[in-house]
Amino acid sequence: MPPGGGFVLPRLEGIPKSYPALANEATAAEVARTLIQAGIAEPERWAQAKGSATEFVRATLDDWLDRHGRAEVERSFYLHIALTDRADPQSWHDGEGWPGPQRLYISVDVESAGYVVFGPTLRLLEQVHPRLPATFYQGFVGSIERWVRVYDCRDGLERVEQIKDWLADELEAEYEMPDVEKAIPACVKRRPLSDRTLCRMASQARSSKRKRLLQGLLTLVEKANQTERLTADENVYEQLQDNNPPVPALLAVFERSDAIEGCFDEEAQTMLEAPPEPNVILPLNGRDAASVASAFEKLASMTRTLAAASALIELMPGNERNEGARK
Amino acid sequence: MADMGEFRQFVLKELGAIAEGRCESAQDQMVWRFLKWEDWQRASQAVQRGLSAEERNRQPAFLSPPPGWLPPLS
Repeated sequence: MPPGGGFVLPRLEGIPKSYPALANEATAAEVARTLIQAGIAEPERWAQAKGSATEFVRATLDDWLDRHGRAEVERSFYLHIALTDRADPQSWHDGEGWPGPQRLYISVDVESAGYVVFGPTLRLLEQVHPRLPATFYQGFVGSIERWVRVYDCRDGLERVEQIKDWLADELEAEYEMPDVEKAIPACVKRRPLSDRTLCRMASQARSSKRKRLLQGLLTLVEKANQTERLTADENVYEQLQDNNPPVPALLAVFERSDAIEGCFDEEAQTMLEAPPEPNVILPLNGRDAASVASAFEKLASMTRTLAAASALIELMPGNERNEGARK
Repeated sequence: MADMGEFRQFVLKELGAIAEGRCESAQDQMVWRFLKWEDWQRASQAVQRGLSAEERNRQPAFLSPPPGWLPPLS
């Protein structure tokens, strides 16, 4: 019998009314206390939270990010940072079997990828030394990758290989493959210079533009190397085994609309088919002020690195109108 | 400075009470009010009855306004 035209009410029993980052108010209150004890939260915020510990924790993280370079980071990166009780931000649990506030995470997810064009900068630096472009490119990408994923020529090459495998039995000639290899400038494939030579060149560069670029790179590398990144335990990766790889925080191309960008655009269509892993997962014990302080220090290291990267991107020729560029 | 220290202690104490379930948070209070206030419960029942009647009869169900409320103008 076909269904009638009546009005059907969905059953809402057992469906949570909200999906807070922390399981409940009691947990949020414990974490809020620890944040105050660790010197991260300001007690004065409590009045504005109107009695909600969940709101207090959210506002504290917001304030902390404002004090730690959020404005600079957001000029090139589009991140969502949360203090949560689950490694997979798309999952939800009702508290059963959950070990409690001693196992929390700061997770960093990407809302959309930032965008940087390298070509004009590399050509400028090649005039100084033939190995300087490779030094700049590898130093830049390597520093950011200490924290978040960068989609660059390596991913493009991998994607082309993947597509070739899929099409192995079909007529390859019918498909136009992006020529990633051709899009990679020869100067990037050279051996990078040593750190000492780079420092010398940064101090001796005659043109102020090149000098600022090299000093910007040195600052970025220094910030990236200040702290060792905390690694999450095996239990965390078990929770994430069905997730897709993290969404790239930055797309690095050599020219606008080149083959690497083509690969990214094509691959981006399936990046969210399964929930992606967060780019960063910093574990912490929500009952231990020292553990909380340590995790926030790591997060500060990440924001310092990405703020330095944002500043450098703005100095790079070809990215002047880059503000707000995202993929 | 002493005031700031006292305020910090006050906030820690309130958060401690919420953590231990001795004090209701703002969110819990909303559920508690719903359970306690019969007006809320009656309003929910009226809506639920109206929707059920519409489902049974496929006719619009007109609800009487609660006592003291203005009737519909048309």
